[in-house]
Order: sequence, then structure tokens, then C-alpha cells
Amino acid sequence: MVIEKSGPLVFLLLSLLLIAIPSTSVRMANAHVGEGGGWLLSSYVSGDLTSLPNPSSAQWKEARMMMLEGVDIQPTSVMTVHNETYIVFLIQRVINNSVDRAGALIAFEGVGVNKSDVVWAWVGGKNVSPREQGVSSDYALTGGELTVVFGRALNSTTSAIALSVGKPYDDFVKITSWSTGVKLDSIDLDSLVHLNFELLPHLNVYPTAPLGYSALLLAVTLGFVWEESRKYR
Amino acid sequence: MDSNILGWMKERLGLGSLLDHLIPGHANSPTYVIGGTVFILGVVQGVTGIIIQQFYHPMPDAGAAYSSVQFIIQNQLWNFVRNLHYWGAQLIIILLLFHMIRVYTSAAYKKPREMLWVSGVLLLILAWLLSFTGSVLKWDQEGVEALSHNLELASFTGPLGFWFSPSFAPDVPILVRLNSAHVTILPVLALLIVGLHVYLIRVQGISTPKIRANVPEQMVPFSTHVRKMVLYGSFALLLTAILSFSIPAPLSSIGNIQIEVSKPDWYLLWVYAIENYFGLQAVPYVMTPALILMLMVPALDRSDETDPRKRKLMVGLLVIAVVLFVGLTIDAALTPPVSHLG
Repeated sequence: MVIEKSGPLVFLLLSLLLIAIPSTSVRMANAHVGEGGGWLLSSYVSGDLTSLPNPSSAQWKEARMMMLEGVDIQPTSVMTVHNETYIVFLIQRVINNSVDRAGALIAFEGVGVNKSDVVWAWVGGKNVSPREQGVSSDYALTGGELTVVFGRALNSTTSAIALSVGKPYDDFVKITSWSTGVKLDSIDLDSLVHLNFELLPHLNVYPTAPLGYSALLLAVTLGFVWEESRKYR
Repeated sequence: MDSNILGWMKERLGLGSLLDHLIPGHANSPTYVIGGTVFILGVVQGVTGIIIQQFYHPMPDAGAAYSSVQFIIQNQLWNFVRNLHYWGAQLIIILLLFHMIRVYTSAAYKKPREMLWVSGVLLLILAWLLSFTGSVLKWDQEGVEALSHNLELASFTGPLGFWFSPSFAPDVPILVRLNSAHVTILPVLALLIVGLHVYLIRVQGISTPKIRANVPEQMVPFSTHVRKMVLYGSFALLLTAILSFSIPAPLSSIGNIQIEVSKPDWYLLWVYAIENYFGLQAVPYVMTPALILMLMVPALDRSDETDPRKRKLMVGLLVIAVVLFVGLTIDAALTPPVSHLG
């Protein structure tokens, strides 16, 4: 009898208890995809992309950031977006010296002549991309924080790199930066972390349909309660 | 001529006792025909599913499964059939939820119809599982992520998750077994439970609110209810067809099992929100009590009262459950996708 009367409350409390137990020991899910996972993911962004060194522009809103180390072991963040025709990379780090001694590079593993790496590089304020045409780069220095961007058409006829959307590329990209005046030729590309890479397709990550289903469900619930109650008036 | 054929069938198949038996007139109101509408849509799902299965290749290797879905999409007719199958599933899930909310608010789960409620909850779970396994089969990004979550969840449940363990059938890819679950195990279970559900409706009769119990109500033949089922089922099918023409069933790029970038379909977004807040391991701890609570509804509310105004606790629980479901769904829809897999 007691169970009959207090049953729902007991079950509700039991449910809350069961929820509470694991929540103290379970890893909180707050890491963005790609962090430490070895996957550099280029998010799809609709519309035009710019190669301006402005990380607060709208095109970077949904980009997934990845943290790497520079040649001088300084933290370097990387983001990339594409719109199926153009791809942009954004690299950020703090520099203590002048821009003349800073640099950043993106190397694509084994896609060049004789399986050599194709390198996009920016050194001392200039775009230096040996054996690779059509790459644009730009930079900005704000309060000691250096932002470097690289951009290129996805299917450039002058490039050795042909990238397809939705195709995983294992151990494909190496990215680093420096501010110590290191010469580009002296960087051992093989010693850099090899990242897997994928150009993500358009994903509906903020679906609006669930909002419609939810509104419908709420309305139907209230409607049925009202309808059933009405019968007894 | 028609009536002769119908008469012949009624006599030979014994349909007379089924179609002519009397039911209360209120059973033909729209809210009481939702279950029958789902039944009609379920039959269509079976037909469209059989057609799709002719072209589907359930092997994950070299993207065979994904390629076969692409092949289906490239053919205008089969693509429409696939769209029908997808939108039919969406409609079934939302209508099943409506049906259960109607049954709950009208207290139709009460004695002697407890097993009707239990079988209804089991059918809702089966519909959920059918939809989930179906989303994995397409082997796109959403599909492989759904499978990854499923496999990791199964690993938390110990021996209960043995079916999902690679050691259960080492030489058979999990996608092949999920396909067999989608096209044989789950539909057979659904058919058996639908059979039990229909049998129980026939035996226990369609529920009548207590307000009508003392008032004589016009009784009508069951055949009138069947007509309503076909009518509303046709409307639902028309809606499914319109949606299928206008909005194609989703298929993103081929799945990369090593990344997590998508979200599940709307009916599983509440689970995704729980993963966001408490981690993947919390999911069994939430779903199991929720399921037990749903199955126990007839045991928790055993009075004779059917007036919602006098069942404040039960109606309150329903509103809380729906608000939680909706709140978690909206939360998951509006927040950025995050990684849950360890």
C-alpha cells in the first residue's frame, strides 16, 4: 500500500541516485574533437572564405582548434576551414621576438616529386612555399600574438595536392611554428608530429528539426491532458 | 462485386468475428486511431525495407555498404523508396510517442490492460532500436559514430553487452550482424509483440474513460475502426510521400570511425545531452531506470481513477518526463558537438 502510494517518488529518487553515482567518476565530455586525437579536421563553412589573419571572423566560429608545439616548443594552435572550393589554415602563437625571426609551415606528407613533402611556409613576413603555387599567406601581430593564415584553392591545377571532401588522409599533415630565427631548410620535417587530416563535409550540427519535434511533443502532451480532462467536466 | 468478394473473404478467413465485433464509438475519434495509423505505416516500412534490402550490401570493408547506399540514391525510384523508409520511420516514432501519451493521459494502462501498456513500451523500444540500427547501416559519418557509441556503451554493461563484442562472432563484421538485427531479429520481435498487442486489445477491449462507464455509449463495428485506420494511415502515407519528395533522407560522407563530429537523430538527442553532462558511462544509469519506470506505470498507478485532474502525480510525472526529454533535446541541438568516446 505504501509502495503503491509512494512508488513514483521512490522510483524518481532511485533514478536520480543512479544518475548521481556515475557522474562523480565519469569523465566530463567537454573536449573538442581533434584535441590530442591526432586528427586535424577542416570544418565546412558555406559561402566565401577570406585569407585574412582575423581569428574572430565568422568563418572560424565552427572551426575545431588543435594545439601543437612549435619548433621552439611553444604552444601553437591550428584551425582550418574549407568551403569545398577553397581551404584556409590559421596558425596562432605568442612570439617574443620580431616578426623577422618568426615562421610557420604546413607540410603535406609525400605528395611531391619522388614522394617528397610539399611545404607551405611563411617566414619573416613572407610567403615561402617552394614547389607550390597558388598558396596565399598573410599575418598579423597583436599584443605579441602572431596569427598566420594560409589559403589555397582546393583543386589547384598548379599543385601536387588534390584534396577530397570526406576522405580521411592518414599521417598526412605536419604543422609547426617558430620565433627563434630558424631557417626553413634546417627544419627536420620527419621529426614533426604527423597528423591525420580530413575535410569534413557539410554536417547538420545545429539541427532545427528537433526544435519542431519538441514543440509538437509539448503541444500534444498538453493537448491530450486538456482533452482528457475536458471529458470529465 | 466488392461486397461479394468481401463476403467470401469474411466467410473463408473468419474475418466476421474480427470485423463485426462491437467497440465503443469514441474509439473512432482521431486520438484513438493513432495506434492503428502506426500499424499501417509499419506495413509500409516492411515493404520499403524489403525493396531497399535488395540493393544494400552490408559489408563495411572498402566502403561497400556506403557505396550500395549511394547506388540506391542514384536511382530515382529506389531513392524515393529509401526516402519513404526514412520518413516513415520518423513518423512512426513521433506517432508512437503521441499514442503513448494519449494512452497515459486517458489512463488506458489500468487494470485489466497492464500488459497492453507493457507491450506498447516494448514496441516503442523496438521502434527506437530499428531506427537506430537503420541509421548505422548507411555507414556514413553519423552511422559509424552511432555504432562507436553503441559499442562503447555495450562495453560498460559487461556480460549484457556480449552480443556487441567482437569475440561473439569474430569472423562476422558487426555491421553484418546489425543488418541481420534490423531486417530479421527486430522485425520478428516487433511482429510478435504487435500480435500480442492486437490480441490483448481484442480480449480486453478498447479502454473507456470512467465518465462513460455509467453512460450508455453507442457501439459500432470494429470495421468502422479499420476504415478510420486506413483513412488516417493514408493521410500519414501522403505526408510521408510529400516529405520524401521534398527532403531527401540524410547521407553524409563515408564514415571515419576515428573522429566524432556529428550528432544523432532527434529522438536520441536527449541521450547525447546526457553524454555531454555526465559522460557516456552515465547513459545506462539513466536509460535503465527510465525504462523500468515506464514499464512500471500500471503498477505505480493502481487506483480506478481515470480523470487526469485527480491523477495529479501521474500527470505531473508525464509533464516532467516530456519537459526533460524536450529540454535535453533542445540543449543537445543547440550546443556544439563534442567528443564522448574514451
